[in-house]
Amino acid sequence: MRPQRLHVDPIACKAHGVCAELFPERIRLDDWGYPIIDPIAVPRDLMVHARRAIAECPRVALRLAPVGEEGEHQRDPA
Amino acid sequence: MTAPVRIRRTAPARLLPATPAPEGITAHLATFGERPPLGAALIDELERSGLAGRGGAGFPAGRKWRAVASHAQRAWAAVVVADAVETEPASIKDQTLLALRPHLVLDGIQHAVEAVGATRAVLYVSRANASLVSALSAAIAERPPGEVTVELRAAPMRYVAGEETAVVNRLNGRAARPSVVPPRPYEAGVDGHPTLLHNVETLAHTALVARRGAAWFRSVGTADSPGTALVTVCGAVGAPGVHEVSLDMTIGETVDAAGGAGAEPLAVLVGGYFGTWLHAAEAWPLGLNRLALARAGAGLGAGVIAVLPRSACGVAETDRIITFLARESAGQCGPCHMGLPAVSELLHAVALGRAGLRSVATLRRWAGEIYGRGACRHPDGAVLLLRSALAVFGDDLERHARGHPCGASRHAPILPTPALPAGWR
Amino acid sequence: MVVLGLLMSARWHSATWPRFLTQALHRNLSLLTVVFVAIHIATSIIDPFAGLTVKDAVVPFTAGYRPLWLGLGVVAIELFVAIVVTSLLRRHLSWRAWQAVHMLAYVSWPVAVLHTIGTGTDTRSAWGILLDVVCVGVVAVTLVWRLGIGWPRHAALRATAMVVSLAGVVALVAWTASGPLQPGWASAAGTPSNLLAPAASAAPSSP
Repeated sequence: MRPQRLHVDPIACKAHGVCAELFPERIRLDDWGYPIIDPIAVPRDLMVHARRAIAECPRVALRLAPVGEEGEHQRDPA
Repeated sequence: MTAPVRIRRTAPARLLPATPAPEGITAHLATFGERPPLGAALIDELERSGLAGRGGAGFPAGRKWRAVASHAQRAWAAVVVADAVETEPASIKDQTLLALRPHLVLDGIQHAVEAVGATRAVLYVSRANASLVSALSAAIAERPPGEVTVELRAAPMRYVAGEETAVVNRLNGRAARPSVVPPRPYEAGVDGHPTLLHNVETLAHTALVARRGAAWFRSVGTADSPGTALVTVCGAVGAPGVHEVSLDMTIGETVDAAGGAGAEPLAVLVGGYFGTWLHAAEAWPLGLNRLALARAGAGLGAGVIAVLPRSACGVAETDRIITFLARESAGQCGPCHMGLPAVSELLHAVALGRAGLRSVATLRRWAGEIYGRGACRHPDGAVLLLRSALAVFGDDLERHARGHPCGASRHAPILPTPALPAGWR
Repeated sequence: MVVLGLLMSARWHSATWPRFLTQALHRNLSLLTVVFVAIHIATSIIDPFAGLTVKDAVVPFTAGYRPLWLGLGVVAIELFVAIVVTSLLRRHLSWRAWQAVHMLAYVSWPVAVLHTIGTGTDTRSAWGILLDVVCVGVVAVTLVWRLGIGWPRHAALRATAMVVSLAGVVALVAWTASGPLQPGWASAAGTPSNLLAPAASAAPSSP
């Protein structure tokens, strides 16, 4: 299976912050409580935490998607 | 890239008429002749022409038409939307084109309808310009029979209302706010149909390519950026306004064509409020073509070229623009809706000398954190503008941060940041 | 349950109590509640005292025993089940649909409280009163606290909600004191006469 990474729907997300508590290996919160997701793949041994974060999000804003599938604008030119 | 001698060059007038008088259908036909019914064959011609979108994204037009056409074959008929929602405050090129040569745009719409198999066409224009809306209504009424009637729809006056998914949302009856992609409009847009969404200038170019061919289109410009484009030159120039330029011209030549800049300009804003500041000296010899601009970290964007005189303050201008951009957030995504006002407030404090150098570090950190985390590119544009300001006006910013705001910050604003009326419909 | 839900909407947390804990408790306790209420319903039916049938537990206001007050319990649990089911199927619903049903908790809970006080045979006992006071009190306090977070945004709405809630609590106390806590409530509430205590052992009164 292709490597997967976490994605957050930025419109659905309302900064509950449960995801960052459950999966700090890939999610940290910015200064306003919104998740910053590390786009690197989730290895199999951490997948249980990813799935838990997805299940616990009160807004169902998280999902897994294959690496490299994201829109171009995610790449920061800096 | 060097062009030590400034050559004053006039670009070939393709889109704009010689005299700025609106052309009705009779004058249009006299100038251009009948519209050739090319149908889907135009898609090949467009791909050969290398025409790129003139709305800000610069996506190859032919490729977009092909994508919509193939989706329309598999699904239902397509919809063509001409995007004339020119909410970039400093840009007036689209309004000008629509006022002077509406039939060129309407020709382009019909070509698109025939090429991608659309049964519906919409011209989406900002409700701000009431006289333009009525003039367009009259132009549509003048069209020959047998064409798909173009529906004129009004957009709310919001900066992000021209964004692709915001346009689709409004035309679907919802608020003019962006949504998350997928699905992209060319897959499923207005009423779920594959939707071809183009800036009106791009459509005008397609009408010319239909009549004169790809080779003609490529006869000016560069290999990767063929053809001409409309730019709005404003700020400290002799003759501000809309100019047609060939994309092999430099920024300096463009400014010269617009009456030249005053003595020793400070900087140039290229693209729009989501664009990039450049040092004037660096900008002058820079070609308008995509590759040259990209190497300098810039893009043609909405075609705005704003010259900042040395008497004005880049920090203050940027402060005002970012405050405007923060105000115009759709308020849907945390990093934009919370982050941009935070950036705006902190930058304002720095500009007034009330926040120190550590704040500049915070601004840089926020810029990196905000980028790419919205549903649309609005926060990205603000971040890129901020970063270019930090680069170009870095020394001045440091002086402001140390409590010495420059006298120039009291200069009257060069760039307009209107308070737009509320409402998302 | 309501308290935990309010804590979640307030995004409350501390150094030792993370948000996911509130969330997990909220979910696990609600499932536990379903079990306990199921037991409560089952025992009420099995216990021959009130002569209740399965139909009485499903169709509100049709029981032979205190039909109104029992019926409120049926309404409360059916709303609660809807809330639980939509939450279990959250991934398949739009957030708006889920939210609309979930907000019915603010109906379900007060109705359940009225059911408890109106139907309960132990309402007048000391522990019965204590339980009611603690439950209603904790929810009321948490609700007012939650409404205060983010003040003064939507100030008018929040103030109205606070006033209505507190007025509701006062009304509840007044009604309880004048109704269910008074002797003679059992018959007024619709207890079949064969279950009532002999009249001589209660003070004469009429509601």
